[in-house]
Amino acid sequence: MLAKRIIPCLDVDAGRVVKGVKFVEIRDAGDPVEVARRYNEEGADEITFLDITASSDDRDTIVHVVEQVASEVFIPLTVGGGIRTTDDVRRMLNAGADKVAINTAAVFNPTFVQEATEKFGSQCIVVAIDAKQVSGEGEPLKWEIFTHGGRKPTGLDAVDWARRMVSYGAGEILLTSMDRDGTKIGFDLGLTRAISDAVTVPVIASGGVGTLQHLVDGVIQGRADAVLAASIFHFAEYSIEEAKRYMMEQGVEVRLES
Amino acid sequence: MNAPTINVLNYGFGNVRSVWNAVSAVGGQPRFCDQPEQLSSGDALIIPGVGAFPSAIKRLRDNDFVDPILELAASGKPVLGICLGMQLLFTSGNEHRKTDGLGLIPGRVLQLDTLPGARLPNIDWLPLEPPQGVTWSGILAKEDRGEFVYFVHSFAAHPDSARHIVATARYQGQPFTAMVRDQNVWGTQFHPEKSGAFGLKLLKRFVNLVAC
Repeated sequence: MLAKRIIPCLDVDAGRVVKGVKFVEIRDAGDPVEVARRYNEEGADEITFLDITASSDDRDTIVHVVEQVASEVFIPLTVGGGIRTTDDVRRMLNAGADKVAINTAAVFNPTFVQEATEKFGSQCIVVAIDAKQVSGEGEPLKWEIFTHGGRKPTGLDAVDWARRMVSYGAGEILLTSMDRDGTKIGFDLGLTRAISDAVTVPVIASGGVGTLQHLVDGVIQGRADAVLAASIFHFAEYSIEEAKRYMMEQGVEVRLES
Repeated sequence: MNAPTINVLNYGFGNVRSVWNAVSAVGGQPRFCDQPEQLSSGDALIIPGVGAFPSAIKRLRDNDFVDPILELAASGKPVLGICLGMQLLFTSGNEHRKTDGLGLIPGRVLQLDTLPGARLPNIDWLPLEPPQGVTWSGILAKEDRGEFVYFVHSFAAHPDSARHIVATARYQGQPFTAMVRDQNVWGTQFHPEKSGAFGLKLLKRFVNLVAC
């Protein structure tokens, strides 16, 4: 059996870790290098950085953050946010990222995913999918892709889109429920399960973690291969190690240092 | 003694910066090599690599890296292939199409066998195990059994001779080749540079081979 990964996520704005609720109401959560170092010591399996810097002037900041973290934290690093060209991908990989997450650019230019996977290999291209439920009560469940921090609908069906991205070479899917992001009421398990069952590549569940049981639910009910969370770790509600111990007690295989 | 110079092959494939950082962290003096003539100086060579087998080997051939690598291996200096870099050490690979590799270790590289519902690529931290009947001593020590290392791959090596297999890990319950060795040539399917403290420990032992 495979170990399920726990991935703390750092939303980085102009060089600081921040966390919002449903992408607004931002709270400061520290220096990214310090936070990454702590997560590494606690046993994080990977670290994901999402650059949410709005101003293009500050775009290079994330490159420096990645460079600094990569020179002292020796676990896989993923960087997302604003990755639009193969040059962007190369810049992040050269800075020390192991994978990049492509989000909006995939929607507006799907063949970019193909181009990037051909150039750099599937294993370093993660496609980030931000989905919202669009079906009403009593209707069959349906989720749609949204861009721009969950503000703009695209008309794309999330399950179809995930399949298409995998056919274009995506090595992994980072799936965020925009309905749940920052709410701490748990993953959208229906969405997670639907995507996990539809694709053959690993799926990382994201959006809504508030308790350790939510992590377990994402893996067991949602069938995710990895779980991503931000707030519960940033504000030291739980350590990564506590999360792993809890998951193990619930029968989920994890990597725990003895 | 000066820190040993560890050449890190930079041929356009792989997370070379991560390898550079890790070598530096364990006391080696990493140096990117993007010209074949650079390989002859330096104490050891690391061949990183992510991406696809055919395009990587083509890049090595087109840039005249193949002969210098083979010469270096024959000279007895330590060589370490990481991930795709390990796969390239073998006779041939089957990714997209059958392609000849460097031929330093006899064997083939084939896609992982999947059962229904399996995930590919295999992206995971997995515990290392010695092959049956093998007791680790040297770059892997007895107490390293069960240490977790980080894998990202869809293909795995099948050495012709089991004696080249140093360590295995499991995918869907079946062992696959995690680490190989033929004398001074080593290969890891996993990423030691991304396997936390234990990965660094392995790299340190590799760097220390130079001093021996």
